Amino acid sequence: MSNYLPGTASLVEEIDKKLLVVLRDGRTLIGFLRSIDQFANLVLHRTIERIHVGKKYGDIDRGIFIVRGENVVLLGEVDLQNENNPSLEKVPIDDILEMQRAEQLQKQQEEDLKKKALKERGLHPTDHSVLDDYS
Amino acid sequence: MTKMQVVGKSSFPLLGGKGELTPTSSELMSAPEEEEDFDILNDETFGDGVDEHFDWEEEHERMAEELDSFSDSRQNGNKTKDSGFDTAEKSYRSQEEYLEQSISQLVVDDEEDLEDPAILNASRNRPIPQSHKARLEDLFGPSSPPAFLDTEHLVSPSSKDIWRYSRAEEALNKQRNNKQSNYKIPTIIERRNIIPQSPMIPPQAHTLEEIEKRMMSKPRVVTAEELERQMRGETTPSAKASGMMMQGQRYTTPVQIPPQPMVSPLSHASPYHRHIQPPHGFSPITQMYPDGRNSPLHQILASGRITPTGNMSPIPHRQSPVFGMTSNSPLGRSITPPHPLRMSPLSHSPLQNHIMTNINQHQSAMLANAMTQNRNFSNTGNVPQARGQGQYGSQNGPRGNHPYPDRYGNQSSPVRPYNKNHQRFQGPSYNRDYYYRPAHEQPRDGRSTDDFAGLMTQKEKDWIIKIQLMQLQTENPYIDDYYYTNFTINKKNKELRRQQEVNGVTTEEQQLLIPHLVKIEQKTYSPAQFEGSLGRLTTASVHNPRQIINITRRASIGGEEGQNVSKELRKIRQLLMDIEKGYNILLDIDDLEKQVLALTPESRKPLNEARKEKIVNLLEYFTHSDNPDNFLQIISVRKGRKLLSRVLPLLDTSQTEVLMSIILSHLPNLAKKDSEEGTGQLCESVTRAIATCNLNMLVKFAGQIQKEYHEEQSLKLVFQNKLGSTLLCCMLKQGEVIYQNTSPVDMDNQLQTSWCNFVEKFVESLASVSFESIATPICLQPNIAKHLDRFINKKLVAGVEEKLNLFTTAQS
Repeated sequence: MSNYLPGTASLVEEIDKKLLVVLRDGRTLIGFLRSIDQFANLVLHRTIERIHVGKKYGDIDRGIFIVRGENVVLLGEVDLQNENNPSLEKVPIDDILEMQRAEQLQKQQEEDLKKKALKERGLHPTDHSVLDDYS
Repeated sequence: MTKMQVVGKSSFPLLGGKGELTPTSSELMSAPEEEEDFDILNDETFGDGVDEHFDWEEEHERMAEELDSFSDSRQNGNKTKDSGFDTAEKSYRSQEEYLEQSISQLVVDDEEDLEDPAILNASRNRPIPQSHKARLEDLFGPSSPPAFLDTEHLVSPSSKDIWRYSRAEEALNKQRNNKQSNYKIPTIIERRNIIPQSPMIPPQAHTLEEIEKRMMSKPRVVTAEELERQMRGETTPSAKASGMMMQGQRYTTPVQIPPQPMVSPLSHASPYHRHIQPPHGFSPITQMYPDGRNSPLHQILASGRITPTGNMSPIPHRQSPVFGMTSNSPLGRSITPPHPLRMSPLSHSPLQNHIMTNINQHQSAMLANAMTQNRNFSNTGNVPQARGQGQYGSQNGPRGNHPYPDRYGNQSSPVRPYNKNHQRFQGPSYNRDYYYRPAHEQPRDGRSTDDFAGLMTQKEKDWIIKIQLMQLQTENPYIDDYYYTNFTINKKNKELRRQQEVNGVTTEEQQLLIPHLVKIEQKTYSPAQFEGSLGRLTTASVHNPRQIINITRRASIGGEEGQNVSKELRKIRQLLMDIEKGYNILLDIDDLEKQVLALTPESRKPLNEARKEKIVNLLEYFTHSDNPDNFLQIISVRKGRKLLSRVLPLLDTSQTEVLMSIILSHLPNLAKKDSEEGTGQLCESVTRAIATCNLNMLVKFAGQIQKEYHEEQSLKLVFQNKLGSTLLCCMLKQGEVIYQNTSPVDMDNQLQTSWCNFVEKFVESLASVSFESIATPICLQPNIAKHLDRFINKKLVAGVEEKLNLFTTAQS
């Protein structure tokens, strides 16, 4: 808790730090937080989008990102010293995208099976892929 | 269909303009319409007497000038007979101009960063002169719902509306050796009244005064605004203690907690108050410039822009950042941080109608503190990453002085002297801070400099923090953030107690004072109505949304539960409900106690009365004479026991006696519940209650205990439960106290004899009880032995000495 904002937190302290930001759509961004505003809209600099599949990950360079505050799930400071996690293996981007596609395909198939099963039992399947507060 | 009258120069055909008419459109225009002679431009709609020479545009412009020339907006009240339409258009226009102005100001703003005091006096870019003056107040002023509490005016950190000070001001302050300049960040309310105007506008002293008057006379509006503004959080003026800061006590919570009782803050009040009277330092500024050079200042004030313009150059060393300069303000903000913390304008009950401003002042204090802290903080935070230039230096001095290059790579030298002062007040806590954040140091080791760091200027950061702080403001911290409030207060008190032990000085324990504000009548909001408008214009805004569905709750159909519910169950439920009601009364008493803190003794009376009444209510609940089982039932419920223990301390002597006797009469039952929840607390309350007893009562209690255990003729069983042994020990201790304090002559002989009997009984029972079965009381009473010696012969006492030790000394 900072001293000038008693009882709460502020992103001001995180400025110019390397942060890992998880968005509502599941994306993971890593970048330097350059600027914020009262809605927690973020300006990320030297951003990379990191895709994780299993123990492997791949980075896509994205440059400068402006993220609307409402889409941020969480953000955390990256430990610069232990950044290169030995337990995770970095793979080239194309590979990771391929893996991600495969993973999503598999998930989709599972979902379809579940939906079918639910329908057969008379239950109405709900779409959980959209994390929306209003539906 | 009547012939269309084309008037005016507008190109919009519907407005009567000619415009660029194509053949088809003209055909259309003159073509008759399907509906029965529906003529949108007929006389009925537009009124009679439209002569060919009427040029509505000219009229419009004339009216614009007219409006602009109004210096007294109060008189204004829509003198023109036009519908809202016209003024709306006007303000739209002026908003464009406003936008232009702000953009032009943007340019100037950047140059603000050139902090060198030497060039401060240099003339800067003039903002683009505006011919139209904006009168936004009517439609966007404080009374207008859409603008109600809009943070529109906080649009951007570079907008000058937000800031009434700048680093230039700091430098000036330093130069003028004004240690007590305060960073007064005017509240939104104030800002709203400021109409952006061009520097060309002649001084509008009336406007300002009138604004002041308005602000002072309409505290309710202000209050409601503040309320609405709160999304809830914060402890306001009070609330948040930052006792847990890394930097220690340095910037303890700006506000709330007055370490002194009500009286002393009042003494502080006057000098402080004097400067509050003219809200937000308008007048002091006028006073400061008696040389007649008020006009540019007023312009600045009015425009809310701090930009030093060319006009300002005649006033060399007193540039725009003038607002905060209430020189005698005891609220020496950033330089003497402890000061504002002592101030508690909140306790100024006489100033109730100024309380809001006071609160705002404190908000500003808090904000100011926050800013400056943040400045230091961000110095530390940013420096490692950004600078790695080996400028790190040692802990104290250079650190704070480290000028962080801002966007333009300029060293903000005026900040340095300022920060130096800061240093002095930081002391050891500052060192602590340094060590506390090793994380920040790592990046500097061998890392390349982060060229893009510092993109966000300190000002912008402060701006964000300011917004966040404002969101935390609250007038009733106990309602909005009860647990945090209590947490911080307890922490503070703990700290105080600790200090007391160290220093041996007793300071009163702090309690949060909440000013008793003028009763806020929560009127249902009725939307503003525009005169002469066609129909009701929508005036819904974020703060006053339109009601879409009207749902009323039908009176709950009680008793329909049916007779299926057994009588037992109903009884139990009723019992629980009653206990809940008891708790509600407790809460009310608590609230009343908190409210009285902030009031004058006179106004406290009714509250105290109410409080007493409630206590009586509670007592009656326990002492229901018609149903003797009542008490037993209550006691059987854990919550009931807890309620009992909470009520006991509230009672006065006679009431205590009554309740104690009841408790004691049920002692066996209570003893059984010893292991269960709630009795521990009861022990405590009982202890405290006994400590207030006189001998008469003690004897009475003793008699009652003995009565309860009449059959066994011994108090053996009493020892075997915690409550019992606590009781007995307390009684003996109290007995000792009484015997010590009163001379034998004063004491009633009869009482003495009874007491003596009781003590004898005590020793007897103690002798007969086995050592293991004795329950330890909650607190030890070393004086018991002494007391026993008064009555009992040595031999007997020696016999029970071992067991006595259980009561008197701590057992390992």
